[in-house]
Amino acid sequence: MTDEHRALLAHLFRRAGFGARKADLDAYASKDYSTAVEDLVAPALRKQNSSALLTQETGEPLLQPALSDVQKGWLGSMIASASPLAERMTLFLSNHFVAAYQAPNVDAAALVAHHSIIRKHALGSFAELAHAMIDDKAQSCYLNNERNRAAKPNENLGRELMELFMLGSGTYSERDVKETARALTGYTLVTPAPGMRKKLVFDKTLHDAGPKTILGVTSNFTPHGVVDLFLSQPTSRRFIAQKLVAHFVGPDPGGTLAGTVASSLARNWRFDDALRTIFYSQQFRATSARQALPKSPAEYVAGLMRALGRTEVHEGVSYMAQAGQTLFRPPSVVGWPTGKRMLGPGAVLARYNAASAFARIHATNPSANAPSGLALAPWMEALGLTSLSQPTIDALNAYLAATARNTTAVRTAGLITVLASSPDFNLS
Amino acid sequence: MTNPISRRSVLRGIALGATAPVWVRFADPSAAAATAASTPAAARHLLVVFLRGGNDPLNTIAPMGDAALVKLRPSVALRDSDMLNMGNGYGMNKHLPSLFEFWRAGQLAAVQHVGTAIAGFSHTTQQRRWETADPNDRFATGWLGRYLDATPDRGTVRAAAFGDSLPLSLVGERTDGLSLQSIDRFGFNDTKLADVAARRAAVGRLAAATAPQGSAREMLVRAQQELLSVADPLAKMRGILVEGRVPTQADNAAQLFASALGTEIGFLNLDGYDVHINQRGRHALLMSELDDVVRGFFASATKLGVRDQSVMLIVSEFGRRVYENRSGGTDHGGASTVVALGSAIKGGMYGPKLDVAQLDDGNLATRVDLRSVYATMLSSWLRTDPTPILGAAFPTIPLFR
Repeated sequence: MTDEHRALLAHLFRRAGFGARKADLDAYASKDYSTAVEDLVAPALRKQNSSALLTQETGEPLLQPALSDVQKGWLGSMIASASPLAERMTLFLSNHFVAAYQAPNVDAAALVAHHSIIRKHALGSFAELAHAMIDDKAQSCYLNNERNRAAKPNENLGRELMELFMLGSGTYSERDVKETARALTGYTLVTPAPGMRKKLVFDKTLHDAGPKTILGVTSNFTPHGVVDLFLSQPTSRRFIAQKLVAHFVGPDPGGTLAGTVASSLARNWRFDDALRTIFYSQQFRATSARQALPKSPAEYVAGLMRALGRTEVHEGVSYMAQAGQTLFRPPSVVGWPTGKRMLGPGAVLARYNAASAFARIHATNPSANAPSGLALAPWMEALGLTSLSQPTIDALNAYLAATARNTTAVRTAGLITVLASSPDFNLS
Repeated sequence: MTNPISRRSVLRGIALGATAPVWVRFADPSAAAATAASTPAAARHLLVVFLRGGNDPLNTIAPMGDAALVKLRPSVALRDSDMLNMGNGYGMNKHLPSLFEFWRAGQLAAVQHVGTAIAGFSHTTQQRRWETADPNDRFATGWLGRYLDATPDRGTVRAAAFGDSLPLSLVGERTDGLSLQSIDRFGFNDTKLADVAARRAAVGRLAAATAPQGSAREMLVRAQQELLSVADPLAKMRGILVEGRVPTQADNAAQLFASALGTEIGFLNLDGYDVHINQRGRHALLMSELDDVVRGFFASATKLGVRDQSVMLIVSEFGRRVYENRSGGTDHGGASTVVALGSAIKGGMYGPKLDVAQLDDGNLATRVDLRSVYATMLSSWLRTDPTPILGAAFPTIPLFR
């Protein structure tokens, strides 16, 4: 296998999952790039392991899950997933259709249901997902739609459905927001039987059935009718295409890629097809695109644990939170921040502390498949790095030279920590 | 966009009724000396408190005995018994007793009808406009980040924001504020390891690398450089108790202001102000939390000798609809009320009188450009020319003594 083939595969696995493990690169060493893309986009064994979030270590389902349990379940799924792109899209879409823990109605069980819907559609249809989201309890309650009533509409969900979920800002008027809020009326929480959890239902007696004019179209819009109206808008597919391209390629890849992805979405709204367009594009494959984006805390922590074969998800969830990404608790409906707001000194410190902690655990208690010892090449391979920049090489050499008198266990932990602090590992 | 519990950490540990905290140092006795090192503390400090979600100005400071208001928001409106009489026809929410003390001392200014020159009702857009001070969305930097860029680099931590991530307000071109959860939680976890010096030296080498301007690599390298420069001084400030408890973020802000790190700007976020439902009880709780922050910060600032050098500015991205919705809440509205407090503030009401008979599509109209408030803070308090920072000249408001 050429170095370029391996470097491109590593790029693909970093962007389309949670890092490139040696096993991933070895598996596709003698296969085409397209085989790797197809296996990621349409995994043969597409395990819809949403129930994993609800399962204790003993394998028993959790009837009353705590938030900490489902946080750990999600991180565990990122670390262990055999369908890394589905896992990656689940994270991406959770930061798109944002819901956050909010007692009493947006509790852990409601968030698991919300998460399971996203997971189900992660490589499927945006249109089906959007329809499912407005019927979802966590999504609805997070944005107060269960209280949206015909006589006095509550605009919260309607506004975010347009601005953040389906159309993008600047594509609608304040009047459109008010009319959309009317179209979304009718949802309410009911208790099916004493002692049971409340569920979200659509009660047409609470719905404003009158005509509404939205984006210039007048009709007796229902909630699903308004979702269909938005799906029919060219602004909607452009908005989703741009967001996918920004996430998987970069904020400003140039060229016509976003337009091509929008055309793909116009055909069938399917994520798998849109992602194929992205991963086969020149803009994605270009060497200039590689290691050009900062990893999110989830990519960093899950990727590190996946590379080292670590399973200490309690600690992992905590380090992710310190680095600015608390699972199921994004700070606002906009989701977790990106760019330098997510990569300041405090975030870098949290990443360093995570690396330092997992490296120490690993050096004293190595997992089965991870390397040991001080040779650099196996550690690069384990962390999915096919080359190192010169400052990283200098830093590692200086570290090893300065610690000649320390034990191998101490130096192994230090070596992993320094390597994991390098730009090579922090960038995707 | 409601998350009423996520920022309670701001308040964690403040005992109700505690007015003068006792600062106890239980670790590292040399730290007091380090804090009082030769570099003087910054001359003036500004603590911005951003109420995320859109605070309701009419349930914060409102006209008393206003029957028209009660008619528009029957379940939400404050009645006279819910207010502290400010003696000028207005009342302050009774859950703001500490702010009311500032009012009575003539040290609280309320500017009404403040907003962005281009109105909007989206949290994202309006928070961005308040943070960039740019209604046209051209600036990618924050107003305080541009202040840091425009003034001499005269401190190790010139601006500090408490929370999960750096607010846009403190993002500059050259200089960014520091984002931290708390002073106590900001530290390396390997300080006791045998190879700690070699580890730090290795990170130092990584941080010394050159990287293309504007690249993600440069972002990382800069963050590592800054981390190495602030980690030790902050470590020396750890392990302090206020009244026997872990300090809050408000206490931490006062600590930084009093430190030798040259901290001029502090930034606190309070969440949960998006009260679309059940506003009455929830907003009362939010006001109590805000009051605790005000009381806690100024009590610590007094104890640490920086009260008179500190001004607090309380802002929010918009107000709320004047009429209530059917969920016992209010939807996103128009202008908000900005509050400034401190010894240097000339107490009073500024801006046009609130008038619910003169609504702009159900909202309080914007009559004061938020850039006038910022221009006032920059010129009258931070003593710098606001025009290049704000991109144009704006009239200042005589908020200062």
